[in-house]
Amino acid sequence: MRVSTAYSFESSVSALQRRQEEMSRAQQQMTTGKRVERPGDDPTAAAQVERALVEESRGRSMLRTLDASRNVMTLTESALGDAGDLAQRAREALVAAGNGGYSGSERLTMANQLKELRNQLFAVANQQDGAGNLLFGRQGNTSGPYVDNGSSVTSAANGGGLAGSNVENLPLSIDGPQVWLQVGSGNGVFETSAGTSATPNTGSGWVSAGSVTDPSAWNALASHSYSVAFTQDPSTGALSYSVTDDATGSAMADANGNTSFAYQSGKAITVVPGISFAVSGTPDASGDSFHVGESTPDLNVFKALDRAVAALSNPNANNGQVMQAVNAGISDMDQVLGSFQSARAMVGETLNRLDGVESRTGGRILAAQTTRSNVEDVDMVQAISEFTNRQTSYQAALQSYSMVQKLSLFNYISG
Amino acid sequence: MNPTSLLSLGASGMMAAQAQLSTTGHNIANAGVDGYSRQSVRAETASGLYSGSGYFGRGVEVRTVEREVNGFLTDQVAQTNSQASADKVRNQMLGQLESSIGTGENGLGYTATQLFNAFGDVAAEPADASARRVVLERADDLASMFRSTAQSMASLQSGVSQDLKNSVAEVNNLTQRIADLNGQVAATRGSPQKPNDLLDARDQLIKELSSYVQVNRVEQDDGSMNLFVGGSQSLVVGTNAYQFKASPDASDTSLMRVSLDVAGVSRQLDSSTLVGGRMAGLLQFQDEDLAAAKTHLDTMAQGITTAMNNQQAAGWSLKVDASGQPVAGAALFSIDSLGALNMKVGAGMSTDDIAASAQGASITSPRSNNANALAMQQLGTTATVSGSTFTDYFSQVIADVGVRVQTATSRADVSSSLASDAQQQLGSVTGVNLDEEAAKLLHFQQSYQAAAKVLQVAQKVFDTLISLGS
Repeated sequence: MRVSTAYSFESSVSALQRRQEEMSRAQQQMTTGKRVERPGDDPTAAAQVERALVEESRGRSMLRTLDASRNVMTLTESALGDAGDLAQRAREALVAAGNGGYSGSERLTMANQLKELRNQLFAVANQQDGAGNLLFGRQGNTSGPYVDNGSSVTSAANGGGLAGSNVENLPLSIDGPQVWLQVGSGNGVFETSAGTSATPNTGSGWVSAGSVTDPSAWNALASHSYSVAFTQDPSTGALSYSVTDDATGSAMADANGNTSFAYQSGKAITVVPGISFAVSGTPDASGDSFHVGESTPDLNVFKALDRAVAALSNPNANNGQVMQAVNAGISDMDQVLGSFQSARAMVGETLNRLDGVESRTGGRILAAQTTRSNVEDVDMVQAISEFTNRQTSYQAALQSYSMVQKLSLFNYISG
Repeated sequence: MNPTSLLSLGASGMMAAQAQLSTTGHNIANAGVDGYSRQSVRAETASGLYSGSGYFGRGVEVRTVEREVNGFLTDQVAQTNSQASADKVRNQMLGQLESSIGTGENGLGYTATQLFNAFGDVAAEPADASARRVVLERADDLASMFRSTAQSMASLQSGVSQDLKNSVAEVNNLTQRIADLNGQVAATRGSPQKPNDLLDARDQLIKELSSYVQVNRVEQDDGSMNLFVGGSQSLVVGTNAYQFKASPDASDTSLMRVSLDVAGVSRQLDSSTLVGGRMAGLLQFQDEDLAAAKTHLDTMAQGITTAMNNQQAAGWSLKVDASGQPVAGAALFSIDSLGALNMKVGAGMSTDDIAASAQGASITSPRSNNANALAMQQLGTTATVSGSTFTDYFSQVIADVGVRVQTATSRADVSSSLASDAQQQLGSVTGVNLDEEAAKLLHFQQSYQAAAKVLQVAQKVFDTLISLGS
């Protein structure tokens, strides 16, 4: 085919330019390290890169929230540890106060000690993290969640614990009132009490917290409210007791059909199926009564201590009232300690879980980075070989152009 | 038979050789001129002179100078050139559109995610003014990124409009010149000789015109060339050139429309009617690619504004009304009929206006409730824009633009190589090859020398005759 000189000049120059452009593009890929620089290079990859980048950024945000959560949980864990120590000391003080030999003023010392411990516990309950957030606060309040209004402590908080994320469970506070104000009363299954508020006991008898011997038998009972009343044999002076079902008003009978039993201090009363408790000391047969009721989730750490303090501060209290207060106090403290421990276990578990969330989120970030790198980054070996290839072809094009361009018949026409 | 006939034989050979040398010189001189068709001399043997002893040749006659021409290839070059310039300009504009939409860490998707994440920090510290300040800054970032993206699209549009105006002016100039040339060509009709250089000039002008708008050509008997656009709209008829006009769209003045005035009737031509040429490429970019990108951008701006403002209104800010009751959050973004071009952070937004708290009678202090901040953060993963999450929608937009660029690039590659093939084919028929011309130069020079030699011999013959008489 004929080649037009003008076209051959034009086309070889544009071929040179194309080669140069290809080489500079290969060089650019090597210097930026990116295969996909513009969406047009590979639209699908560009969209994938975009998603991966956002996924990575979300993961980083999650990690930041996770750090905040871990910080709060660590503080809460140590606050609950402190609270447990204080409750343990209160329990020890109560045990000591049960010493029958103590005089009224000695008991007052113990009462003061308990009051001090109570105040410390109150401070722990209202503890803040460094940023002014309440550890045991709940959604929607910033003032101290627990208010001491003199006679009782109430919660100004409501809602649930503050969550750090809607996706993962990253608590920023724990549900405080459940830990501090809503402990199960009694021994957690049933609670015992002496007398009623209308007619306090006058004798020196006291009732133990009792224990569950057969949970299914207790659960099967229609009624969970019983009263113990005493009668005194006028001739021998021996005390006997009977247990009444408050719901029906009928007396409880043992296997032999007996409804009245001889009283012996400290002997277990087992006539109510499934549970066992003991009355000790000398109850007054004229009106003293002891009651068994279902445990309710309303035991308040501060109220329990306040009750014990009030009983111990009374210099005229008889041995029965003191023992009742001590016994009830110890049982309450056990419940409180249980509540602290379970909350601490939950916080510990949360901290554990946060580690899991962290490694999972780290994995997600890594996966996103890998995706990004896979679709976007250039394979250096390939890029270098391609660059060399392009360089060679550009060189060849330049050389051949200059050689061909020199050839012309005019060079051989001599004037 | 006489010696003078030998003289005239030599002279005719010399004249023919000179004509060929001068045509070769013309070819060499025009070797680099666009649209020049190589010319050659058509020489014919002069008819013989009868004598009793047969026909004696009377030398050579120069019949005409003709140009190498191939109507099919010339038309092919114009048509492929037309398609190539449409694809090229669309590809260029799409390249600019592609760079106006930032990607990765400079992209809308990442910036919006930064905003969603900032709400996560507010959720961790609902009352922290610095976390709230970050939200406002990120919101401002996002709004200004929307604005600047919309701004660069608007300037692309005004570039397209300007370009269309310039193209229309250039087309009107070219059609006028073609019409003038038609007149000059028609004027030579009486002569059997063709005005080669005028025809070349007209073909070249039509080729230039084709790069703006694709035309169909119909040659008339008088040698003038009629041109039509969009199938059957007259553009040049004889010595009349009809005017193109560029004017803003009646319903959307930011768009530019192209119309052709024929006999007082203005007819609008869109990219599909124009088929090829720079104007078709520009119109296609304006009506399809840029319009789609603008719609996507406005949909995203509208979607995120609505979602975030609604969520703000569903929560409580830190501000209280006259009765001490917390008030709902103010609108985070404001947007008007201009769409993304005028997206701003709500007027007078302060850190206290961010609604981090949920609303509810049980919430005594919005300072320590984070439910609404979490919901704001959650907007990053919920469908806020046309049934997709913001990120997904943005990824689709990027992929969409990317696919357009990719398609346009490959189409531009194909059509430019087709154009260059057609050019090469035409060049191989009509172009000047300097080596060939050099060879011809030698060849015709030798012919000239040979013919001169004949004259010399004729002179010798005369001399011999004359010396006989002395």
